[in-house]
Amino acid sequence: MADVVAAHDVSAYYGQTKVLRGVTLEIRPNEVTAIIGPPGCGKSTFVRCLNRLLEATPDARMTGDVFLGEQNVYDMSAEETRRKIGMVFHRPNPFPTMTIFSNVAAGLRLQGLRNQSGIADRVERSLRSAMLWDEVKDRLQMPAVLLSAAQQQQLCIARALAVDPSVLLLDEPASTLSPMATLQIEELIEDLKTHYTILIVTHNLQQAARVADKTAFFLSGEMVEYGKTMHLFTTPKDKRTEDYVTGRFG
Amino acid sequence: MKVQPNLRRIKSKLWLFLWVLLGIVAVLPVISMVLEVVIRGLQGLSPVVLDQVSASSFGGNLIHAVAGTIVITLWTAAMSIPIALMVGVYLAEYPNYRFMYVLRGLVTTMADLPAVIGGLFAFSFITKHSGDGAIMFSSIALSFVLMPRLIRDTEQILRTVPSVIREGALSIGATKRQLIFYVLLPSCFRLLVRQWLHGLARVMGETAPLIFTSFNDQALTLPLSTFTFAKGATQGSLLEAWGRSFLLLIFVSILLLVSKQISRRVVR
Ligand SMILES: Nc1ncnc2c1ncn2[C@@H]1O[C@H](COP(=O)(O)OP(=O)(O)OP(=O)(O)O)[C@@H](O)[C@H]1O
Ligand SMILES: [Mg+2]
Repeated sequence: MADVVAAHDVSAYYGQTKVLRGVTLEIRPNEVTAIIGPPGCGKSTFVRCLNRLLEATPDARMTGDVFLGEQNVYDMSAEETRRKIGMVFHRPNPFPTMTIFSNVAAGLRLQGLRNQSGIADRVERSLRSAMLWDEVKDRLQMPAVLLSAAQQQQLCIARALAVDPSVLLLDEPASTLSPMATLQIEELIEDLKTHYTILIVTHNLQQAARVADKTAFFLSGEMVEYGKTMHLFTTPKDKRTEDYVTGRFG
Repeated sequence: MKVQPNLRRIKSKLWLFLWVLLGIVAVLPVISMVLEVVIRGLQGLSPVVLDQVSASSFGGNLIHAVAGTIVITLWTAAMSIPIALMVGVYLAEYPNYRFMYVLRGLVTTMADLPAVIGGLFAFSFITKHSGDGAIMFSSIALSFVLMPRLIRDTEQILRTVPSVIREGALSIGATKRQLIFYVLLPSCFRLLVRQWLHGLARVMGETAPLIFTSFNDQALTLPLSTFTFAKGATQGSLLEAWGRSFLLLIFVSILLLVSKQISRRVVR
């Protein structure tokens, strides 16, 4: 079941530097929400607050609250939060020493699952959801790093899906991919939103316009504007949003 | 207009000549050294010479030195590798504590100290200067030489794993410990093993640290008995020295060859 992810007054610091200034944002299930904004405005930092990955960075910390459905993520363990709120990164990052199969199975094995047929089942389902199954079903024992960049990124999506998250965070998932592969990932996102809550960070305004139902515009660590993608792009309320979406800066 | 291309060609020829010359200058000593060790070593290992010398033996017999080298190397490995691995991982993955700075500084300093100091340090642990224990204390001495180097290299190797891989593991719910054992160590495994073998090959040939810990067993290891025989400076004993260094060369080469073989990828 997909859940709402709600950030309440989230701020983040690297050492003494405050890079996120009290962001409050609710990400609805079964929609795609995009975050746009110029480089360094805190998009990745915000995303890492949601799944508590930020606390793995030395010297980084956050304040504020994040809720997954009714539950405060700080009432769960960091590991549980990260399983429930899956993440895909700007660069495909399959585990280099593992096969395709082991990459997808990794999360399950780390949880201590031993039931082989159960794992195989889950791997197949995840690869199907990531629209990769047909391409790799005959070579599951191949090193994952031999896949193309786009396939590696799909594999990373499958790897995230395997531990049964309800939310998927995508931090510029297509930024290193070709235009064709980018379209493929976008189609995949369209498809996934029927089952998951999806947040995508993107530099690419067209991409946001294509895939996102809602869009949030970040600037210098603040969320300037949030609304239906249509409205944000055509009738922005804030001058800064207008400047950004019309390409006047950033 | 016509002169210039010619000039350039001559110039590049000249450079080429210079590089080749420098290459030869660099390689020649190595080749001649290896040749010398092999030729004289084979002579030194011939049964006639061996018989002669062990009759008048003052440098101990060959088997003793070979066994000593192997056993001490194994002990050194057993002591240094696990500890170096643990400390190296600790330094690389838990960088947040002030204690780490001290530890890292200490390790880097120790790694660059002359090997003889490692021996002296191990020597300071010895309370009873008789009987056996030469093997044990020599292994400890070599560990003092090897361990800091391994720690430093382990930390550096682990740092080569890109942060996006670490985050990938954490993002599917890995704990820090799982990240280390399930993802980081396996992906560094080849490099780590290579580093171990190189380190062992290195300390296997050390003589200086053993001066203090051999308890006057002058043939405790191959390099030590090489040293002893070379000091003897008679015709026969010099040949013995060559024989031993030849064997040492073989052992070191085996370790280095194995470490080359490990270059192939391991995939689970
Ligand atoms: N590990 C870190 N240590 C210190 N400062 C950091 C760290 N990571 C990011 N920052 C700083 O925090 C700010 C926000 O970074 P963040 O990566 O969240 O931006 P972003 O919007 O994702 O940028 P981009 O579009 O380039 O990915 C930037 O000024 C960046 O320099
Ligand atoms: Mg970013």
